[in-house]
Amino acid sequence: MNDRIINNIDDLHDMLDAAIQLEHATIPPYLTALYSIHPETNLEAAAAIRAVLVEEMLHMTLSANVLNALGKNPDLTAVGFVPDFPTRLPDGETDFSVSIDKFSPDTLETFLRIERPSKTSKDTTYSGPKGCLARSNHHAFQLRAVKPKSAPEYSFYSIGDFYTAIKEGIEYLEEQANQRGETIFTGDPSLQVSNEYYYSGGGQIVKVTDKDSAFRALSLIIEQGEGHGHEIFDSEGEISHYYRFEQLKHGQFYRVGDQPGKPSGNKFEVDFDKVYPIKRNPKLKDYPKGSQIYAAACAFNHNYQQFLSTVNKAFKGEQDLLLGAVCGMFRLKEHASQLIRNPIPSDSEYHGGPTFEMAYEQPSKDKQAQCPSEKMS
Amino acid sequence: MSEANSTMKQVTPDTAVQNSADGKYDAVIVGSGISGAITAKELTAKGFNVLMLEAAPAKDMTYKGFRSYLSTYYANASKDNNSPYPDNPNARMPRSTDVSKLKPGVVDAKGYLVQNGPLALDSTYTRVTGGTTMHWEAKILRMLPDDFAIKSTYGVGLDWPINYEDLMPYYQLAEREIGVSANVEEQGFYGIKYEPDYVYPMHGLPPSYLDKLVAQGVDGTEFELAGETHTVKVRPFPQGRNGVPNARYNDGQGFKPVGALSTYQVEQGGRCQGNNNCVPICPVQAKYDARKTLTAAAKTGRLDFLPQAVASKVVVNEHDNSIKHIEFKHYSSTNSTEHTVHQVQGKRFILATNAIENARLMLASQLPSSSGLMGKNLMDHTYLLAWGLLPQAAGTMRGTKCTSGIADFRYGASRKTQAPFGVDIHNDGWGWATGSPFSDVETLVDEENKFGRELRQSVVDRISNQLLFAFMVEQPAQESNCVTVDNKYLDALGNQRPIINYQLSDYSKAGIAYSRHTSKVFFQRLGAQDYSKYSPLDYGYFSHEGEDYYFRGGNHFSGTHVMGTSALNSVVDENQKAWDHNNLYLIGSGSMPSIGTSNTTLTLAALCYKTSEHIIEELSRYSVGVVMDSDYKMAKGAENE
Repeated sequence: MNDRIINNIDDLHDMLDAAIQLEHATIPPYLTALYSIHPETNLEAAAAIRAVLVEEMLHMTLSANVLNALGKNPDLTAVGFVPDFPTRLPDGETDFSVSIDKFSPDTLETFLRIERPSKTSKDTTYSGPKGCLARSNHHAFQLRAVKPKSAPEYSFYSIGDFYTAIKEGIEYLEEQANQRGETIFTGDPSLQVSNEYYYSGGGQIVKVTDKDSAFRALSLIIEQGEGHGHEIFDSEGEISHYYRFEQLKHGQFYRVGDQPGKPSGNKFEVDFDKVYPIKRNPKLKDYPKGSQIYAAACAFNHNYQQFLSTVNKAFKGEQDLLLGAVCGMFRLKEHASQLIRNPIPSDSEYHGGPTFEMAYEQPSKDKQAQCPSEKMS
Repeated sequence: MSEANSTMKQVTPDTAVQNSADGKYDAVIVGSGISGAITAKELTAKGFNVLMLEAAPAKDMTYKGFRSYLSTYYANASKDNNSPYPDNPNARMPRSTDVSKLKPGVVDAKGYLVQNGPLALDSTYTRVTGGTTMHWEAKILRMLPDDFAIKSTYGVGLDWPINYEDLMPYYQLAEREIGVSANVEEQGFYGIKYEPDYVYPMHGLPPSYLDKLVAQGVDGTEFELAGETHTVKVRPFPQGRNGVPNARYNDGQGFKPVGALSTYQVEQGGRCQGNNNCVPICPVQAKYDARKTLTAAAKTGRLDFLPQAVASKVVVNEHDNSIKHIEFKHYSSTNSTEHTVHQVQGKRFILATNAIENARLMLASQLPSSSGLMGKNLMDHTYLLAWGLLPQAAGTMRGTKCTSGIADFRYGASRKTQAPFGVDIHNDGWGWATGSPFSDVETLVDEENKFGRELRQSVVDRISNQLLFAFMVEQPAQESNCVTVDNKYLDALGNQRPIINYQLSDYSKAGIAYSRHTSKVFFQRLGAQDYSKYSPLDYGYFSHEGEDYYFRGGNHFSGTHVMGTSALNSVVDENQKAWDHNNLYLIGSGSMPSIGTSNTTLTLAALCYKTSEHIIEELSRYSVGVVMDSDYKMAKGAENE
């Protein structure tokens, strides 16, 4: 069996496309949990989720920079870009489900699993391609990052293996190209999103123009997300996602020098009761047609899709749009709050929540017929 | 981002007293606003040890403390400048809501400021850590070169002992510290110049839709004034808030904006998002406040911060009139006036409270300056508001509070006879004038019986078309406008409160009247219906040549310890050093002999850089063990809390 996952530039493009989808996929769950917290409560928890959320946006942008540098534009409007929730992520020989849900002890566990330093397939031999294995529940995974295009019957052992494959692919293809006196970094440098448009987002954006900068961008994604093994703080003094979330279990901040599991910083309160009871993985069909909550859910989805389309244009060269996109984010919060702060009329237990169902297949006219969204924005 | 995280080394009164008795402190700074913060940052960066006294508690330095201000602000029915800040009887602050119409000859002492009239002044300052930058708007204009010599050029007010060129390098430093967003090519007018190739740290903020609408209507309008033609052009303001960093800044090294302050892992404070409640408090800390500078000073490990310490007396040595020590009252809780009295000393004493409190403290210490000018020449910008309803929706209530204005009445020969003024276009509607949007809701409910969906739509319709011009009129120095003290008026700790004696001259009134004239022309050109009214019942009411007006204070207190060329004509020299006391500096806008038509913060910050440079030079002369810049950077890098 071929040891390499990525054997040509199309494979690499496809994997980076998948990376953008993967980095985005954590945003809906984080966003929903963040907005589910009662205003002015759980300040520390909200700040932790927000910080990680913002870094996921950074990771998405970094992946887009790498793809653009390789001469292909990302496509955030592609069918299936936003996964159907719940969606599954691999975690070594096991896997777990990621849901759109309120902030709760369960949700926190999921967040910890998302951000837990990856096990890697090193030192283990499986029959599949490098870093991959065959799973009994293979069909349950929808995210493209899980299954390599060149060996779709297998899935990656972990997200860490997925990124390792990308780096190896870049290494291999660039070497091949160099031997021909060429490079795979043929993208238009003006498409690179720079610090002008992105800062204070938990890390520096990296403009990607060659292998070194591509590796810097990918390393930032891997390190911020996965942490350095069991290091709590990185060399910049920034806490890793995993330990940032873990603090919420302890109700206490880590300080530099602390051991895992034993934070010694200021204490704070996490109150899971000060949270709106959102229905887990809500769908439009859960809301009575014609109800205000149905309309609000449609409006949210419509605006979210528009927002992704704006970011997509920005990744294709219209970077100025990123400034205006900030207003779009306020609008999203407004729509999400309308859902989250109101009970579902037919349901005595749960509040609404954003469904993140994109209208991919329908032409826009049908969609309008289904969703009376024009009044909402 | 470790940069955003901070801890502040707080000391107890006993430690401070012990340290100062041991000769630890190179400087004792009173006040943690922008003047004190800049001076502390500069001095500690050079290896000097600084003790800072702050009258307020210090919970402000944490994200949680900041959030509690925000919550108080959101919950408070009044949205005035000091509404986020809890009442502290031990260090009260003026609030505009305390001001009411004065009766002739009757002193109004119900607020913290004692209003002795004849006019009531509703200006405020903020006594919390970070000072008045905790409520400022962060519009950050340089003064015009002409503004530094109004006495010799126009025969009004006072001249500065230095000029625009002298301040230029310090303006740059201040613009870096504050993090100013502006485009040089839009700001070089009426004599304002920059070093070749200078760019601001960040690009200018985009003008609002309202700005563009107003520009369409009024750009090119001509006014004949003292034989000169003033042609109107709407221009953007430089802003002390985070925007898009300019890659060309600092010879292409770029600029790194400073985000929100927090003790633990809060990474916020990106760029301005247009929340529109810039005054008093920016929820994302995109707006600069002095805590950002203070944090940098604290990181050196050489700043001892002593909160809840209200300076009560400056005590001099009999033999040479130098300052012996500063006495302060330390309280342990804002719920009680119980306090202890202490004394501290250092090689230099720096009063950095603000124009009112600096003068108040000196006068309360019976140090009126040999010039007799302590507390005199009190200046502020006087504002006239004019408000109207545009014929179309203008997107009011979106964006930063104020993004553009008109500078074309700030200069010219007319300054001989009437005060010049700048014009602000307010993106927050009629709020300042009428209490909108709250007052709009009241009117629609009470007078028009609107409710439900119709009420909601009416509120939108009414507010979207609102336009408010604020005319910021220069007030030249005049000795009869002054701060005084009197044992009749004491605060909870027994400190004398500031008494404000305030009047508008005919020169000011003429400027205000002309600004009103221009507002009528603007409304006419924009097809806006003029809703301005100036009631004789208003506390700022006055009449001029038969017409009614009012004024509002600009919160730009200045001039109470003016700088000048000699001990006869001023309180401090060009380095803000007191002529009478060779180890005392009074810093801030109190030193400014004139304020032109620029908000005072940038100029006072520039002055603080000049003063810091001077103090460092003086201290270095007899100081040993001053660290080099490189050591300082290493020490800074090692701090990783």
